[in-house]
Amino acid sequence: MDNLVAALRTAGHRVELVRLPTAWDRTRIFDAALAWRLVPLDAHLVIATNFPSYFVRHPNKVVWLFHQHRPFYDAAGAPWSDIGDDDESREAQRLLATWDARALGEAVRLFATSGVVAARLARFCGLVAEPLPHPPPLHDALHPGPFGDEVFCATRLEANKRPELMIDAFAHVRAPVRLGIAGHGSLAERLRARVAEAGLEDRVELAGYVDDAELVDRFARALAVLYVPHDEDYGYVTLQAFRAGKPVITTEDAGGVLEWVEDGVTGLVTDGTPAGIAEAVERLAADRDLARKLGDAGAERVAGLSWAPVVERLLGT
Amino acid sequence: MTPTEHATVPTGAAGRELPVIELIGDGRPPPGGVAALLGVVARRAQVRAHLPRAPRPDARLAVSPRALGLDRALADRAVPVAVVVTEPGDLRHPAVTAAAVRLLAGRAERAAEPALDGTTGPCVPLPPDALDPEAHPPVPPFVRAAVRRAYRLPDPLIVRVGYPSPTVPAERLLPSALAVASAAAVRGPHAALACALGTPLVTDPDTAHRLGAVDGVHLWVRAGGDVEPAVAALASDPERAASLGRGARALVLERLDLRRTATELLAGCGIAPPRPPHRPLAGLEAALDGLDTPPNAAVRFRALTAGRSLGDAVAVHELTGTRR
Repeated sequence: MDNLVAALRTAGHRVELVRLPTAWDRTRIFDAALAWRLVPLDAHLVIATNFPSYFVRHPNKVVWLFHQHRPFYDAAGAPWSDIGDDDESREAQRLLATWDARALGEAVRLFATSGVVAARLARFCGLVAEPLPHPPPLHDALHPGPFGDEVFCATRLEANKRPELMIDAFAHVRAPVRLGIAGHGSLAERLRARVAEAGLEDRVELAGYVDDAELVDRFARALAVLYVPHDEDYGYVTLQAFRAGKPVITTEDAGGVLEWVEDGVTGLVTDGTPAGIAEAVERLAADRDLARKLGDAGAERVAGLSWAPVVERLLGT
Repeated sequence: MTPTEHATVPTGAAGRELPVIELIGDGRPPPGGVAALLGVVARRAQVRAHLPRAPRPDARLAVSPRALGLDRALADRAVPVAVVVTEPGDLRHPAVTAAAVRLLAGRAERAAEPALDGTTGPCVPLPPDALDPEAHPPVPPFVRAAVRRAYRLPDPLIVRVGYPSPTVPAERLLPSALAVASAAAVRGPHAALACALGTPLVTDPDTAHRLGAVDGVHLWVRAGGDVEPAVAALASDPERAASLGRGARALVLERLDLRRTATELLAGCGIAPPRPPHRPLAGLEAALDGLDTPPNAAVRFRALTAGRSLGDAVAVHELTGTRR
């Protein structure tokens, strides 16, 4: 959001960022949506991005959808969803889908952050959105560098990002490369235990929070970036890797990541098993020219990304 | 009493809790569609027969131009009268031209405009397939699929109404069948029900015309041997099904919503909408209504409870009787 605000200001507009707190349980989830419905906004134009902000009412509402409330939709039944196989859950899903269709259908222009998000919107709510990609955070700071011995990932340590899969994969890797994972999350302690159990302390680093300078540096020095989320909306990590000229190893169920990672062209798409991921890591470790070639192609893919056309599309100018 | 009703009680002209509509019959059941409309009107008004010595009603509704006692009702200038007209030939009936409101139903609904040239007062159309959307909420395809899985129903489940079918749902089961169907082929009067439920729908040109539906926007229009392949294709295409289901529901809200007919009828009789904009909680309720929220939804109860906890939301003019 901060980058969007900055881009709008750069384009000469006065911008205010409005945030409201949200409770995520299935009973109170509707309260926040309704609260947005009642927020009086007198701006010339309102840009809403995430659930539930798009419930705001405004005659000139533009929606740039990053994601709906996925626990009610494609992630229903997932460990992080409180939607189950019961009538109350299904009525909550029905009502939210009705509300979403109405609130999103009000938009004078409807965009999605990726084709995956647009496809979900079409499937669940019957609405058509235009995919509108944008630069990732640190877009201007990221740069290529030498192909070192670290396979890197910056990610939240949460279930949908599947960080344990990266650790399990490294138990199969025999090449002299290390895995570095930067980021916080609720799974941190469990992952540390997993690393210890697998005897990977000297080859897998859970770096926790790293500042922007270190992040840029680790992307630049990486051999490759490993990113294996489940059905990702967009995936900044992929774009950041490409800005740094690094190939991305991912899985065939990674969602929005696959809009950028083409197997054998900009990265390697695996079957998602630890052994399959390990094989991809070994392949790049053994063939640095291939890593460079894939990374260069990735860099080319994101070379055209900038905020100016995003702002133009959002504002309809 | 539902939370909605509790929060939206309008006040009648004589200070009663609900305005009163006196029904003037002609000895027969109300014409088709009028009974359903009265069900919706009854949420906002007390509908009753003429009662000797009862206070004057806020309005009167005659079920036909030949209703018993209509002349006397029209002579009472203090109470507006609405008359149901079902036959085009009755559009120039003296009782119809004298009425404050004409409720156009049956064959008169489509023939009304030229025939009514020169009359005054509103004409309220009652489309033959109009229904109460609150009673039939939309069910999107992914929720339909979840229900089918939960209850071990066939998947895909195709429902046919008005077309040859090995399994024809009983009439009373139609809403349930249409609410869980992957897609449906429906022709005839039940197509509106399917639309209200957001059912991905295939129908014939006559039914589509009757509904005012557009092929590819609200439903698919197919004929003869093209129906079965279309409904099968729709059942296996979640994106198209979601799009058409949304369009079908929108069609009902735009053209076939009995709530709108009821509002127009009551407005023509001088009975204001139940949510005047000055009431503090009106915005909250309007927001809920605008999102197609059912009357019994938990969020409605939570929201109105939260709002009411701040006060009883009675406007000053209602306390003082000084409304302008």
